[in-house]
Amino acid sequence: MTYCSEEDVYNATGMNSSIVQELSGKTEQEVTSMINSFISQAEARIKRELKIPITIRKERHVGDGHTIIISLGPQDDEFGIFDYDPENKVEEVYAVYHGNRRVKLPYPKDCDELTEQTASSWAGSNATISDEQTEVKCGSYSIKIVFSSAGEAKYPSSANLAKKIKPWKYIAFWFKSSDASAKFQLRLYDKDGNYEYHEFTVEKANVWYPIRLAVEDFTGSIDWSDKRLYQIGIYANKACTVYFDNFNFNDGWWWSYPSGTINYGGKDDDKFSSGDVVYVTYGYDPFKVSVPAEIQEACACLAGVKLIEYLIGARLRTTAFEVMSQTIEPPLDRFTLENLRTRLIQRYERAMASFGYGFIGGLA
Amino acid sequence: MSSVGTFKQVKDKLIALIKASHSSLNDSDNISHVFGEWRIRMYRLENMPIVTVRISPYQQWQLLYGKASSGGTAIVSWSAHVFQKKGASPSAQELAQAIVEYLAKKGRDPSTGICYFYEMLMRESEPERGPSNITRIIIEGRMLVKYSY
Repeated sequence: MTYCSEEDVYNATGMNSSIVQELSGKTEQEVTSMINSFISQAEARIKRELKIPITIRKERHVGDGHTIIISLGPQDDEFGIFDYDPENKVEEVYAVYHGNRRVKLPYPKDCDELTEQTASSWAGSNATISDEQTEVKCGSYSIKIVFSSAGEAKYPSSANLAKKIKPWKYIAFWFKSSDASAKFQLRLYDKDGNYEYHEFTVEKANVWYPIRLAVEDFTGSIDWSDKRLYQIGIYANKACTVYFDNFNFNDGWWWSYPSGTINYGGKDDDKFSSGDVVYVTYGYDPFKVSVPAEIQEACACLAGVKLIEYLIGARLRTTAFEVMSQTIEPPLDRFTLENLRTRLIQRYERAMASFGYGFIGGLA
Repeated sequence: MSSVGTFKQVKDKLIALIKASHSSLNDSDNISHVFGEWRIRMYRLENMPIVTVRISPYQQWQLLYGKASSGGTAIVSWSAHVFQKKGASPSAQELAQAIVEYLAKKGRDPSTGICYFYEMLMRESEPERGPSNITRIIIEGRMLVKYSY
């Protein structure tokens, strides 16, 4: 969710798409793209100035012996601090402490890099692979694999991961299949194309399941203390459509965001024991789910400043290098745009002040 | 009979006469020094001297009131702003003098209907917000023009 829209920028500046098109010589689509980039820049600056993502240090969570998916947020806080509300506001998990032990960070560190818009790097036999933006469990994309019959999809197609996986005990990912009777294998390849595999299934079709496997339980004879992982493969024994996301190697804990959960690793039916305590350090964006009116205005004003600066530049191309012919003075009307730009900056700073920017203390 | 003495003809001729009035105002190498526009591009200032010309007003003088006429005479008031860098040669004053003398002596032009120039005056005037190293001389004058539609 962006902090403001293109329309908000027009409302702040009094401009509209057609006048910007006329002044800049850009198409409607190019103007939209330019303003969206101004909005992104404004958002980045607001986040920097309000110190977002805000870091929550060692948030406490307690096991109940059943749950393996834990929503991040203050619900288990022993001091009863409930004035922040992360879950879907979570931006990034930095560290997990299981008891006194800091859990080794997963590979990849965001638990998602290998399945985030990587379809072009996959190759398959009897498998069509694409990036999926609707059926997603982590990040913005999952991998969609359509098996036309028994087949396999491999990543990366160039088989060049070259990753030592020995430090991690477990593999985890979210998985959904259109056919509950299909049997799947996760395959781990070495440089020579030899592989180890672990079978898994889903209980019911078209439901997301967290799949958790232990590396030591894989069938095969590759010694991962000597060899590196070069490729992974998803094998299906029949035609079906599957979604694959959040794939990672972990040391007991892995995480999913923007859904905002940490997930217990282990294997198969391992549970996070009742009474066990885990502490999580993570960052969240308080405006990720809903944007307050002041932040929306601040973002629109700052993006508006950038738009006006662009238009001042566009106008400089023709008018700013002119002088009045009888006095050789610069025309005065150029200052109206610069004045508007200054007023937008002032409005932006007032809007930001309501969230503590410019004061000692405040939200940050 | 083709029309003469129209606003455009008169202005174009005035500009041409001023260009011809001094060698430093002649067009050369695609560089002009005399302009008729209300605004000029800033980079023109690199090629001093500059003269900007404006007509205000062009006043038709009807001798026979109430009668449709195919022509008559007009009193055309004009101004020329002469800009030159301080210390440059020729100076703005010398250029203004040359322009006035040229128009007085050679301004008559039957092809555009200009009969003669008169009541010409020159004055120095510093632009309030203009560059301080540039001198401005304002020339104002009138010309009698015979026009026909």
